[in-house]
Amino acid sequence: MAISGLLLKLTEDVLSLRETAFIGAGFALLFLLVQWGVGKQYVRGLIQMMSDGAVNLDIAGKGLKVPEHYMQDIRAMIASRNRDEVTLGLELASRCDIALSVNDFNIALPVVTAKVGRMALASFVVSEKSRAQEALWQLVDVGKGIALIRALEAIAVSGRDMREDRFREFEKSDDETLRAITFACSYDEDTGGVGVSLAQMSEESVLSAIYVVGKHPFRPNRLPLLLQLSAHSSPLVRAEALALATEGATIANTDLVAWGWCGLADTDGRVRMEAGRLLALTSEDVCLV
Amino acid sequence: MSALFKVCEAACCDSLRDVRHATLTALGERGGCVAKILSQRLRISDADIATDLMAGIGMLGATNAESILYSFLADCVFPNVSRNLAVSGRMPSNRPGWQAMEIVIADNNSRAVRLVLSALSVLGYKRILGL
Repeated sequence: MAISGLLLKLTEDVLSLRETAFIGAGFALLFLLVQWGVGKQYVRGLIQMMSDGAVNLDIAGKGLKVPEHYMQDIRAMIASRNRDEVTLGLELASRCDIALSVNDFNIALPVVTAKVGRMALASFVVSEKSRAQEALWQLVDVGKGIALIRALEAIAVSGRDMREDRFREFEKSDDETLRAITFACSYDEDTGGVGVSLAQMSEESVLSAIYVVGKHPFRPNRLPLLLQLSAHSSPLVRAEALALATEGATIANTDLVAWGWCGLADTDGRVRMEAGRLLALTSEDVCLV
Repeated sequence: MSALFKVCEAACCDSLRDVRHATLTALGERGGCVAKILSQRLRISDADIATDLMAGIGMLGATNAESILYSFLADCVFPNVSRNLAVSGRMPSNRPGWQAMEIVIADNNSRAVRLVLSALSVLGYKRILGL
């Protein structure tokens, strides 16, 4: 303020009031442009840092209250169709308890990775409770491709009491991944049959099934099912099956130990990593002969 | 040879750091029963594998990890540094022929520093050290 006053005093004999006002307006416009540029760079930098893993929103917790205009910004990010922006938008929405609509999910889910999509829907189910099931079925009705798959996964994980018959219809679906999700819910009835069917499916389908099985409470017959996936052609499936087998694994389970040693000889590093973890947690503390 | 020892050996022989780190950290979660296996392997491993073994030892709990890591540093790392310093002092200066020896000593010292920093990081001083 003082500097502005001094400048006005110095220029009062040189410039007219109108010229001074024009120069002032010009500076204000320039300032706004710089601020706008800085803001854009900041968002870009933040998104870049998120994709690099330098910013971890996991420590931010949940239930953050944000003003309405930030909610609109987050919704705009979700609708942007840019993977980084949609990811950031979904992460923020799940932490700020913003109620996303079926349409928001339908637009966002095909853009983001499976992990982010699953996290967003899981968070939606937790925050919306009773309304969530209805919304997920609406998403099944309007969604196609990935959005439909994620919605059915979320239903399979969060409970399907509302429309069990409708859920069962997907057992005969043309889409292999939708069939895999329904099989994953019924492995208790026919573990062997489900295992054989899943072992012949594609990587994406089996990963969906493993996700659903992993989210259900642990049951001992999960292990025979996972063992049948140990010879799957996709290393990612083999690694995920091993990782899930590690949960609830007991020490000295001979099947698991044998599978672990097989996995440790795998050519893929991710499989060896999970096999090593499984062996470390299940090997017996006794001397071998 | 115990089954856990065999797992530890297999992990240490793996060429991928992620495999070594995940397996040895999971082994550390087994607690006191693997303390001896990990500490013995630590004394005969090179710096790369030793840092992963230290991560496993860190999972044994503060008391166990402190005693194993401090005794390892005192027995295997600090004497090396003292020996290196003594040798450096005795080396004739300005003789090009001794350059190879200087490089070896510098390399050995940097490995020692790396091991000390890894041990301190495992013991919870990561943030203080700015690692």
